[in-house]
Amino acid sequence: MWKNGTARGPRWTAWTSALLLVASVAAPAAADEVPEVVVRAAWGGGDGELGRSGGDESAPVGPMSFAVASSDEVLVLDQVNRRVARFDARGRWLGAVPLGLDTFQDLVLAPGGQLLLLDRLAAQIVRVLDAGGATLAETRLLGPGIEEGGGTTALFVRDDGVWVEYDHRRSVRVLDAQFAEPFYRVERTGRPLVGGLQGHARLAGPAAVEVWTVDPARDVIAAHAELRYDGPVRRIAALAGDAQGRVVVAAHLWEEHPETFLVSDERLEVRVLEAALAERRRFRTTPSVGAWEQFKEFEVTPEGAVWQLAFVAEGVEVRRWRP
Amino acid sequence: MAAVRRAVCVALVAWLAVPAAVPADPAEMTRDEIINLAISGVGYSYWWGNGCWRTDGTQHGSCSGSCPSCTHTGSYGADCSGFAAKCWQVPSPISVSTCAHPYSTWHFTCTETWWNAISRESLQKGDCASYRSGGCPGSGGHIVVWERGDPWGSMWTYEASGCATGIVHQSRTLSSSYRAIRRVRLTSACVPTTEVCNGADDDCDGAIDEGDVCLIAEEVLQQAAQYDGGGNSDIDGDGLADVCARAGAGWRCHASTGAAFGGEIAGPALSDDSGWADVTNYSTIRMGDIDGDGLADVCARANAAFHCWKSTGAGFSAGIEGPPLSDASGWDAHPYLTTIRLADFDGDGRDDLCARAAAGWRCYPSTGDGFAGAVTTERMSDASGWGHPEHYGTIRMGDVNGDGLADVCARGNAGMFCWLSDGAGFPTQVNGPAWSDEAGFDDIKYWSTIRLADIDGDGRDDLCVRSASDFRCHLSTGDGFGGAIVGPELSDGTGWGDYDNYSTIRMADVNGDDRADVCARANARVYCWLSDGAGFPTRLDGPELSDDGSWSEPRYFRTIRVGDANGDGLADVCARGSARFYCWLSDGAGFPTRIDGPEWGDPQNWDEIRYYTTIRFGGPPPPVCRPTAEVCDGVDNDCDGEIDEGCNPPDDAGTDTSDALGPLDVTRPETTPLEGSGETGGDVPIVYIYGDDGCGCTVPGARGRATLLALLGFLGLPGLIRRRRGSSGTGPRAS
Repeated sequence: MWKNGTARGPRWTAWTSALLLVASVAAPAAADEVPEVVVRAAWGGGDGELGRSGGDESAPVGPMSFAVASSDEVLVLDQVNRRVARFDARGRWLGAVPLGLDTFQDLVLAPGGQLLLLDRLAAQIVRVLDAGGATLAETRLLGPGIEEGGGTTALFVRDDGVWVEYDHRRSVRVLDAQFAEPFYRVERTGRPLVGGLQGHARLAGPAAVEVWTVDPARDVIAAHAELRYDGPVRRIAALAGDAQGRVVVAAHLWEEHPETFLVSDERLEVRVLEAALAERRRFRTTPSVGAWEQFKEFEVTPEGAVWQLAFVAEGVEVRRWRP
Repeated sequence: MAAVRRAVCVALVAWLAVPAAVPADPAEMTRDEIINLAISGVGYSYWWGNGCWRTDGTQHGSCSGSCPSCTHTGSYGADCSGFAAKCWQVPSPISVSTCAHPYSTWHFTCTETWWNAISRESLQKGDCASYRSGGCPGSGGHIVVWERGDPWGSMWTYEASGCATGIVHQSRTLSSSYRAIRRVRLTSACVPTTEVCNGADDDCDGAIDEGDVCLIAEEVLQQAAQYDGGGNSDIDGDGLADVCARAGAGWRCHASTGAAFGGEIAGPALSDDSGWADVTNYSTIRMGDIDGDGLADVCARANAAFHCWKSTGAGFSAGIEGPPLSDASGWDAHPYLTTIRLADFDGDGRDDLCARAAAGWRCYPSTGDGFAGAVTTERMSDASGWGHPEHYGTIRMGDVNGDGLADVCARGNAGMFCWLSDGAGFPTQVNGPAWSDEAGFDDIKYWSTIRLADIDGDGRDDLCVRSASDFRCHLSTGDGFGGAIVGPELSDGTGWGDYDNYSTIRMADVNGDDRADVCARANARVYCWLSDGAGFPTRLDGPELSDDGSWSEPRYFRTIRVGDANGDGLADVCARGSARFYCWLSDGAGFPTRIDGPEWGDPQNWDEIRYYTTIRFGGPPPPVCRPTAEVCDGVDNDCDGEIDEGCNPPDDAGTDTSDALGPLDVTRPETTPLEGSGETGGDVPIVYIYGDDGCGCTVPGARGRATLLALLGFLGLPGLIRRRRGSSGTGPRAS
């Protein structure tokens, strides 16, 4: 629920919350599935709130990333407030893990409960924290496979260690499974999916996304598909997989007036694909409002639930679509 | 009204908050100059309300706190709008080290002073994207300098991001709130397009034909005929590869006798005088058997249409006009003309014409005396991104699933794909090795080495390539490809990234075990590595075509060919030297015997590219087997290497499933080879050449053609074959 606290930022009344609920149901009107809004947090720095900053001749940023635990606990990278905010499966505030920096941009949760954080621009590190926020390990990004910290585009933790994606093209293993520096950095094309496959996606023309998976053990294409859309795809917002081998692709679409360049019909379209990349399911959702930058918008849990971290005028919503 | 007043007030405050823009003219500048200024700023601190830095990368300054009430220390730094204005040099030229802040994001977003709004999809290097919170006039904003996009549609930008990070270069997303803008007075009116080999700066980067564009263009033009094994040049059907080429006066062939090459056989007048010195014509010369008579014919694209001239064994017939692959319809462009292939996609024994049009892959079935309407597919269309040489230059045809029909494979962005022919089209996609752009296979030194060849002798063509580390193959399973089999270390590190080495990679069976081996020219000589089906463990020394002998010159190394010149079932290595064409005959363990070919030497002008690149030498093609259901007929109907398996002879109720017929039982009329018509009925397999093991086709374990031909000779079958050819009306055979 939206929290009325003492911190900065707009406050919501019960009726506006209700309106938002209606809106969140109605927003994906073209969608065939309505998400559950698991977490609602107002803008601010207090308990249950999430921070945003910048935008006055600088980059406006909101909570950059989030992660979901197996218990459906939601952890939001509230870097503006230098913390990881924790919400339980019903969206109730559980507390926060303090961070020393406000420049982390990605957060993933290791199976052992450790928090992995990516700071790609300032410190240019990956840091591993325990559940209480104590630093367990840290490694510098720059090195083989990573020429610029700003080129990193995602952080992953897998059974074999911690991977950083670069330029949405390839991934580099920067820590081993024990969070130690590997003897050397393994590189693979694409991004690691659950199950050992590497996932790839790219814009393929104005209204299509090419998706494929690669079996790195054989170095062959495991599956390939070209997804067609009914409007211009501006960017790929997510590519992730679940433990069943399904692959989730989120595409951000909007129309632009040819003369005024005004934006219309903006939406995020999520497609869930079988392992062979045949479409299994699709739904639409609304993208974040405004220009508040975020780094990771979607998370897919092993059982196949799709989660979205979305900014609305009043705050932040964490939405869920069950498998 | 209150809202309006508030907006006006905010706008006024925003305007007053920055120094008044001096009405001056910005100088012309290039996109690269903009980016170079942006690069020089990376690492400097965020300084709200300012814009300056040094070009020597020192004295970055620092920022602390939360802006705008942040604290800046030092003499240099910029906020986002100060940074953008300095990169754009607006309103007028100014040193980056001179602090100034002429515009805010309000100016960039809400006005068009020295810039104009553009569409998001037209963003180019050096343009900007700006936004204003709440629209115009708004209450704050941000601006970035755009450098390039990435595969996801994310953007690489330069920007003064904020107090904690300063000026950065990063990949990021930009919400729809950002408006794309372009500076006026960019120096060049150049509209960037893909750089091609044309003596112009197509991509507007200040460099002409940079990179490998000219090499790529020439490679694909001149080598495309070799990509599928060099075709079949056996013009007289004797099982010996003959050699042909276009001379200034026209097409010329010399038939191999096994120990030499015979006199000149004149072919069609593909002469310089009639316009065939045009590379868009002569580079399309292909050889294949378009009428299924066992004689290799020659075809090529003229300006108005594709033409073929059928071999008579002693010459060539009058031309047959084929599909109108004309200049007028765009077929003189490299992305199309270089993809022309002759291959039997419908399994009728006649090679068909296939090529990639702008709309996709298509094949024109040969009727023997012409070509039927095209079988079309949208696969590999320009619209789906196949108009680039690293893609269309990788088109290969071969039999991926062993059904006797030629399939087509090519490398997309993601890697290799094959589309299996069903005789009427290419409906089934098979995913291949992940030789993706991301993995670096968009580099010519890798993609141009892609080959389809059967390295394990199972009747299915496998995919091979030279990577940065080695030569490797993936075995076809018929509906997919297995893991990599690593072959010889033709690595970049050992020098195989040189064009005069990697471009000579050829695959053929040099030791007669029905497995394709790989040969290539190193700096010292040609080497061949023999496939054992699971690798290439044995290296043979080939002819000494060394750098020292000038074989690193394109006019020589580009003529390296493989084919069976003496009909012993072992592929030989041939090439044009400075004096003539030579072949070095394989004995399975080396290439000890050289035979001399036609006198196509440099003094006779054969060092001119328009002649030497047209040399065709290859084949004869391996036997073809089209599998059907196995029946009790003494034939290996299903092409699995076993005959009549599961079939109990009437007098044997036991379990003996071996062939009931011995090696001499080859005269089965329903499978008589080399039928001119290529027609067949029912489930009788089309078998073009017998194996000496009684199998009606070449299958695992089948032996080489030498024994086969000896057997045919013993049985007097050549006479039978000749009679059948004669009866099919394809003309007399040389005797």
